[in-house]
Amino acid sequence: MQNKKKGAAVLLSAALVAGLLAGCGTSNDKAKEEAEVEVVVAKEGLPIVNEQISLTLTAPDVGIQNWKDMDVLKEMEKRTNIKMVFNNAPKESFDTKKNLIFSSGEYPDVFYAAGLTPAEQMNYGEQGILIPLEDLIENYAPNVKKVLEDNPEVRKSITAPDGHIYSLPVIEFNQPWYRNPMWYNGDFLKALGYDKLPETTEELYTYLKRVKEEDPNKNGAADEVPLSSVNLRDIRTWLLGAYGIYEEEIYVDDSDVVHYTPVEDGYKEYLIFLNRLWTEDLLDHETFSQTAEQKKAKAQNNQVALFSDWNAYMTLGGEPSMDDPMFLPVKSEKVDKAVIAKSKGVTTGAFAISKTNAYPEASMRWVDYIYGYEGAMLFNKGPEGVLWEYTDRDSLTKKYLPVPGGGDREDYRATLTPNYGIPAPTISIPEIQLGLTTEFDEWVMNESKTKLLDKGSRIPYPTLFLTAEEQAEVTTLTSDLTTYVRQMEAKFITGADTFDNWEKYVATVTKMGGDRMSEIYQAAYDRWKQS
Amino acid sequence: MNSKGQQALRTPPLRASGGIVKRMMQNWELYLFMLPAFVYFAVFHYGPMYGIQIAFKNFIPSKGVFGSEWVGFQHFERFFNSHYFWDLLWNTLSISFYELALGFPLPIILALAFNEISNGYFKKSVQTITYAPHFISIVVMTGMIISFLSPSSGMLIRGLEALGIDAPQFLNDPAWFKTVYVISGVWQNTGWGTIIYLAALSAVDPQQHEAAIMDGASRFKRMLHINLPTIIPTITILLILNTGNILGVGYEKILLLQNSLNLESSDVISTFVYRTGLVSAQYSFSTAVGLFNSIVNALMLITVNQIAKRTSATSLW
Repeated sequence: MQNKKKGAAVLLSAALVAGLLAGCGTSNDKAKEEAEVEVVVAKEGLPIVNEQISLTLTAPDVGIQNWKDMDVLKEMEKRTNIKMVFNNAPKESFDTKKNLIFSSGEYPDVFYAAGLTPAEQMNYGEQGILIPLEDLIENYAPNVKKVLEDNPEVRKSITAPDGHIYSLPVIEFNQPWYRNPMWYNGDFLKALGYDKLPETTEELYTYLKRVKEEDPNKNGAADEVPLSSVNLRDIRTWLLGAYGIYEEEIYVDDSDVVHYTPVEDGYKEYLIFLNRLWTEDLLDHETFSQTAEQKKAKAQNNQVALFSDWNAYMTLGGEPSMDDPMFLPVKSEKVDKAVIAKSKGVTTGAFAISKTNAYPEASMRWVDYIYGYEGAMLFNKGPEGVLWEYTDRDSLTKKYLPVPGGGDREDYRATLTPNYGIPAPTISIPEIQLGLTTEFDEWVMNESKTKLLDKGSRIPYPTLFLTAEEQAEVTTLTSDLTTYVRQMEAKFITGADTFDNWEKYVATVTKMGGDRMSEIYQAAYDRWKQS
Repeated sequence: MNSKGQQALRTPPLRASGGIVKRMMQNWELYLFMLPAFVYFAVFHYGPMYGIQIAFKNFIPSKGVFGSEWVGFQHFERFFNSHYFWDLLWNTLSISFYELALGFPLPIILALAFNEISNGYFKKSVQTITYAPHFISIVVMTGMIISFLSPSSGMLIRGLEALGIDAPQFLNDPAWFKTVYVISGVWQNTGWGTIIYLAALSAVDPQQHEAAIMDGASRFKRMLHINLPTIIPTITILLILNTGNILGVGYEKILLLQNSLNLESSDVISTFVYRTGLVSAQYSFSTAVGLFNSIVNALMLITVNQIAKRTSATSLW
C-alpha cells in the first residue's frame, strides 16, 4: 500500500510536469504525430491499423471467464489488428479500483463498461485525465455519429456542461426495466388458486399472508418466505410506485417538481407497509444480512413466493418458464394508479479514453465497430457458428445452435463475450434479434409491455449533468445522508424505531441537507428542460 | 525479580569516548545491522507521511499532492460537525476497550495454564488446537460467522433452538454486534497470543520453584508469586502497545460483518474512512479523519506509557 503511494507520488509529479508542458500547447500534438508516424489508422474498413498496436483496457470482471480467452475479444483482435491488454478488477470492488486508478496517475488507455458516473466524467474530464471525444466521433466513429445524429436527445444527455463528450453510452431503447423486475413463483400462485395477480397493496398483503399460512410448497412446514430481498435495493423501486414515488432517491413528478424521496409522505407509507410485512414475517428477516446466493438458495429450495431478478428462472432454477408471471405493480389507497419507473435507455460512462492513450483515433474506431451491426452482433451473441448461425445472410435472419455441452445458453454466452452483467458500450439494433427471439423472449417482452409500458411507465429523472459546484455539494451531502437514510429505513421497517419518530427523522434528514438535494436537482432539471 | 525483565529491554549504556562519529566508526558493524530497519522505516513509514498534507488541502489527482489548493481545517470541521462523529467515536472506543478487556487477560491465563501442564501429547495438541483459528483468513472467518449465525440455517442458531432458547438476531441487532465481534476475535486469537507469554515464562528460574516447594507453597501460590511476576514486564509492554491501537480497530472484519441494521453499533472510524475515501473518492476528507484517528492513538500511547512509567517502572521509552 505504502509502496504504491510512493510510486504514485513519482507518477503524480510526472503528471504535474506533463500538465505544465501541455499548458505550452505542444506536447499533446507531438504525441499524436509520433503515433501517426508509426501506424496508419484507417478511417473506415477493417483492419483499423496496418501494424498491430496494443492498448490497455480496464473493465469490471464478473469472474466467469478470463477476458483474454474470450472468443469475441480474440475475434475482435483479428478483425481490427488492435491487441487489448486487460487490466480488470472484480465487479464487486470495481468502484474502489476505479477511484484508485484515477488517483494513482497510472491510467489504462481505455475504460470499458467502467460505469463512469456523470460526476466522474466531469471531474476527470475537466482535469484532462479523460479526453473529449466529440472530434474523434466526428472523424473516426461513423456509427456513433449516425446514432447521435438520429437521436439528438442522446447527444444532449451525454454532453457535459462544458460542452464536451467524455464517454460513450450504453444505448438500449428497447429495455424498459429500471431495475430487474419482480417475479411471482407460479407454483405458489397455482397452489393457492390465484388466476389474477394482486392489484393493490392490500391484495398483495393478503396473498403474501396466505403464502405464509397455507403451505403452498406442500412440505408440511411453514417455511415459506413470502417476499425475499437483498438489502431492499432490488424491490424498493417497485413498491415505492404504489405510493406515487418513481424512484428511491430523486424523481420529478408530472408537474415538473423534483422530489427527494426519503422525506416524502409516500415514502413513509411505503415504510409502514414494509414494517407490517416484517412484523408478520412476510418480508424475509434476512433481508439486511443475506447475500444474493443465500436468497437464491432459498428460492431453489422452493420457499420464496416473490423476488426480483433478470428472469424468474435465474432465481428459481431450472429452465426458462412462462409459468412464473412478472409482478404487476400494485397501487395503494393513497393514489389513483401505481407509478412505474422506466429505464433511461441511455447510460453514460460506458467507454472513455484516457490522456495517456497514444492511439485515441484507433481506440475510437475500435469501439465504434461495436456500435455497428456486425460489432454489436459479435459482442452481443458471440462469434457466428458457436451459439448461432445465419439461415439467410441477406436478410440477416439467424437461428440458435444447440449450446455446446448442454447447459444454460446465458451461462455459455458469458464465457464468449465480455458483455454480460456489466454496462458495456453497445446499442440495441433490432436486426440482431432477427430469428433469434424465442417464445420465452416474446413472452417476457409481452409481460413488460402489458404490465409496465402500457400502464404508463416513464423515466423518473432524465440523464443529465450537474455543474461542478452542484456535484461537489451533492457528493459531500450524500456521503452521510445515504448512510443515515438506509439505516433508518432498516430501523423503521424492522421496528427498531417507531413511526412516532418520523418527524424527528425528517428533521434530521433536513438538517443533514436533504432539502438541498431536491433544490439542486430541481435547478439542474429546469436547466435541462430549457436547453 | 523485576530486574531481569528490565535488563532485557534496556540497551547497555555506551561508553562515552570521543564524538558521535568516532563512536559510530568504532561500532560500524552494529550500525550496519541497523541500516535495513532504518531504511525500511524511512522509506515506507516516514516517507509517505508527506501525503498527510492533503488533509488540509482539496486534493485533486491531476494537480498532485503538492499542487492542490490549501483549505485549512475545513475537512476537520466537516468531520467534527458530521452527524456521525459521536457515534463513530463511541463505537470505535467501546469496541476497542471491550476487546482489550476480554481479549487481553485471556492469553495470559491460558499461558499460565499451559505452563503448568508437563510436556506431552496433551499439551501439544491443546496448543495446536488453540493456535489453529489464527490461520483462518478474515474473509473466511466472517463467512463462517455469518453462516453460523444465519437465522434460517445457522448452526449455532439451530443449536440454541434445540435447547429451547429463543436465539437473538446476532447479526441484525446492534446490541449484539460488539459481542459477536469481540468473542469471535477471542476465539481466533487467544491461542496465538499465548506464545509470547510462554516464551517469557521459560525465563523463570527453576531454583525459585524448588525453593518455594521446600517452603510448602502450593501450585497456585507459585504461579501467582513466581510465574506471574516474571511476565509482568511483558504484560505491561503489550498493554501499552495495545492501547496505542485503541482507535485502530481493524476495518476488514467489521466491514464484512456490517449491514444497515447493525450499522448503528458497527460503524467505526476506519470503516467510515474506507467509505468516504475509497468508495466515494473524497480523499482529503478521509485523510483528515484518518489523521485525527492517528493523533488520538498517539496521545493514548503516550499517556498510558507515562502511567506505566510512574507506577511500574516498565515502559516503552
